[in-house]
Amino acid sequence: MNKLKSFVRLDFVTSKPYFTAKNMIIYAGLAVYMAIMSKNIASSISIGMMLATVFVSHPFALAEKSNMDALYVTLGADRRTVVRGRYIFTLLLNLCAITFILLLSLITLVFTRSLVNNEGLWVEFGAALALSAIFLIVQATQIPMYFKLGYEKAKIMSILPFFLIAAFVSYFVISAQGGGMPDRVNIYIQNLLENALAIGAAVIAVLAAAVFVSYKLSLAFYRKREF
Amino acid sequence: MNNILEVRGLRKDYGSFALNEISFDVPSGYIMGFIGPNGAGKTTTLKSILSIVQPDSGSVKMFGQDGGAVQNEEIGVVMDSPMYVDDWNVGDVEKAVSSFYKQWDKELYSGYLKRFGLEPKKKIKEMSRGMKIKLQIAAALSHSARLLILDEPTSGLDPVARDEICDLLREFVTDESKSVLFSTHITSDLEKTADYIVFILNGSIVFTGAKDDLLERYARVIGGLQELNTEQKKLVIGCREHGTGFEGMVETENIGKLPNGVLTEEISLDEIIIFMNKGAENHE
Repeated sequence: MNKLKSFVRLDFVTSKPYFTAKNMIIYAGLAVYMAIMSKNIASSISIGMMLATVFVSHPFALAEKSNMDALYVTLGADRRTVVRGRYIFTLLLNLCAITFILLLSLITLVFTRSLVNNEGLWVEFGAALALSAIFLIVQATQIPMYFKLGYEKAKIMSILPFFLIAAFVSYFVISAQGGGMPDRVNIYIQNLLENALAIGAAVIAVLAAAVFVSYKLSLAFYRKREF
Repeated sequence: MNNILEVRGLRKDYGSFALNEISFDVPSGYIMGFIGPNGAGKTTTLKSILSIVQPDSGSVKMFGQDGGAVQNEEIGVVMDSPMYVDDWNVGDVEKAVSSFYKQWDKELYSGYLKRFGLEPKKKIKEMSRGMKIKLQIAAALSHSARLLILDEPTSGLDPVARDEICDLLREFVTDESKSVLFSTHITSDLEKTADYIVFILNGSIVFTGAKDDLLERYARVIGGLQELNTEQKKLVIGCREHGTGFEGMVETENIGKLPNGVLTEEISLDEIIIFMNKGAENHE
């Protein structure tokens, strides 16, 4: 457990050069701008999660550049600790990004008097969480690639999940607008939309499954790596 | 004599290169030099000992315990380039690694930084190679390590910096419960510091034992081209012929089998590596 805590701390120290005041101000400014322009929370959250996704790749990139995978071994952090630690770091990073952007967007919307009423706010929260879930699934897809191939080799491939999700969402939206969705799917979606609890449970279940599979794959890949 | 490290039958096959049954011991209280030409397998062996690469077979015993897993508390590692982020400063290195060690000594670390003239705010990317090596040594010595494993720590350093590092290693083993395994191809450093030598060539160990035994086992031989018959030529390892004669290395026990006219003299570690390497090439 101590080694795990030490490893998460090491990942934060590794990423420290990117956690500069200048970077934070730029990201905060971008989130505020998006909140003002779109008058909703979801757009800001997508910016925050996009940045979190970029930040998640930093320990992989820096570790590869400085041969830190060998350092982890000499520090006595076994492969399982490294993989677990990296997932905990990712989780904490996302939680920080979501909390930071959410607070910033709410404050901005209150100040600009753009905050919607109670019911609308819950819909916005729902949309923000759904967007966060999509980004988390993207990250869950990218991390095993980094563990298997290393950052440099996986860099191009790691963009693939964004395209797949964009393609899926576009297909979904176009099909829904054009009435091209099969009736059975339409009914199923309508039922889901009417039941917020079911949506929440489905999102959490998909997310948990994605993270579980992602972790297992990462561990299997990283165990075989040599540095 | 207690051994701090025992390596037995280590094998690692990369296809084009293989470590072949590497076995040696590092006794407690001594500095062991690990020598061999570039590409002989020194780094691969050290990485296998540390479990950075996974050997195909063989065993590594550290501090009398089985298992290749690194007992990080008791080992200090210094690689030829530091495994630290370029943008870290000296303070960040401590923040990053100290929590992995129960016995991390903050004051000792600060003491080494002061002794090596390393400023706490200095970034890794702004440091010279010598400073980077010293920073790694400072970290390696600040958690009560009993075994120091160093991979080419002195290559690329000026003689003053090399001498400073050699002094530090000698100081480290004044405590007889500590040892150093020190890989290098700068053999003059080992002539000054090492008590024992492991010599690796093309992935195989060709000698392991006391440094003086190695230096006494071989002699440099020089003579005229016509002086040796075919059988005597076979005794000369890494024989190099030139316009006026030949030079090479012989096992001291074979000196008596050579004609009286040839000149034999003491040999250096550098020359042993060169003649051994040439001898291996001649056999291929």
